Amino acid sequence: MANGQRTVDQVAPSLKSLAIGSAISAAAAIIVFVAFIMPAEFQRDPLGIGAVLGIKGLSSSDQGSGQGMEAQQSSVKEAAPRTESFRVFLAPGAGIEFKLLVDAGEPILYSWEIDGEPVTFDLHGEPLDGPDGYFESYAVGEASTGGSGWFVTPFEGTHGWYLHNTNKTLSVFRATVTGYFEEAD
Amino acid sequence: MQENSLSGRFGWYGIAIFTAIMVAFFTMEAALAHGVADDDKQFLVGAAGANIPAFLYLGAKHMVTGYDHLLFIAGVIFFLYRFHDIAVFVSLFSLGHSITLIVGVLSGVGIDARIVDAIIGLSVIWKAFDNLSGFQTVFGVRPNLKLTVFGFGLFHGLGLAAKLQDLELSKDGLFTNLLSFNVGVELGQILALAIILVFMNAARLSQRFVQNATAINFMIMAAGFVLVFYQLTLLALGME
Repeated sequence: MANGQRTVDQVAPSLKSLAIGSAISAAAAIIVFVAFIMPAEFQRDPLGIGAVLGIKGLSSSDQGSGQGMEAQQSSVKEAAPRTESFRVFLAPGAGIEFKLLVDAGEPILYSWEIDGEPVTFDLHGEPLDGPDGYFESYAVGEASTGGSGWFVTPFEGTHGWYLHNTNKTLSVFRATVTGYFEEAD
Repeated sequence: MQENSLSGRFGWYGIAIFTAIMVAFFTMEAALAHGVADDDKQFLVGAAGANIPAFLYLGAKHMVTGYDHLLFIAGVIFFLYRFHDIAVFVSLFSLGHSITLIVGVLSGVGIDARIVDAIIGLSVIWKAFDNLSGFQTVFGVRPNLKLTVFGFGLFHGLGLAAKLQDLELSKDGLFTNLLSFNVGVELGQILALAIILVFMNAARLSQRFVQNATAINFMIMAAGFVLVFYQLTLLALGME
């Protein structure tokens, strides 16, 4: 025993202190458990704290809507991906949108081209429940005759092209798209 | 008692450090808990048969990162000051968990790990309650400490056995690996004990150790409750 060390054999709080202390311990445990451990380990967030702190789903393995720290790198689906071809007529001066309805985190592969004079385009996505007018662009261009590539949707919503035919003649937009999507109305 | 000029601060430091460690452990546990068995399996890939170093390491790792075990050990040695006393009780604990670790793995019997871990959580609550003289105050009698430590040691060993069985060990070299794991557990325990004693000795220097000791034991009790809630939730949700 070092000098000055306390060597009490035990502490002996009164029955009342014991009861109160035990109750506080249990209560503190419940709070810690519900506030931090349930969101992190069990993906249940009754107090909403987990979402705020970003620990929700911290240890989830394959929760579909998990706010995991890495982007999902694979997904097993029940059906084969669709490959569809689309055609849209762009009258002179017309500005239209051709969009597809896609879930969040979905890869979309595309290839598009223009027959006729080049057009202005903005390949972008708009969330289903987002602020009005909010969108994210994947590719943009003016006087473009086509493009190919892919994007992974950052949110569930309508994803596709805004096309503006600034010419005096008809242009035709054709695209082939592969992925898991539906046509947006 | 002589007044130590640093005594006032050590007590609060002790509590602050202990609380920080608990919060850090539980957060880390949340972040790393899943896949621990997978990581360990990965560690054993390509290592068929007896592999003494690997299992020594795994045993030590499971004890050093086994917060439920560490909390119980901390509770056991909390008021033990002489090396002889510490050695006796830690040895009883080791004897208990070694018996069930070996018998548990060799017999292949699997009691639901969640129930075992819940009982381990209960052991933490029990020891903290005992440190607070709870049994004497409420029931007028204190359970035999040596029997308690040995008895709960048996359950801690079942918990260790369950974790080892998770790794799906090959029968080839099983006994050697099992013994190596057990030795690793003891080595890890010595290491953990040394660290815990460093903090305990610091805390014991404080002139407010008596009040702090009460608070810290209630905190250990709270940690034990969290362990129990965790296991009960696993059981309730049918998760592993």
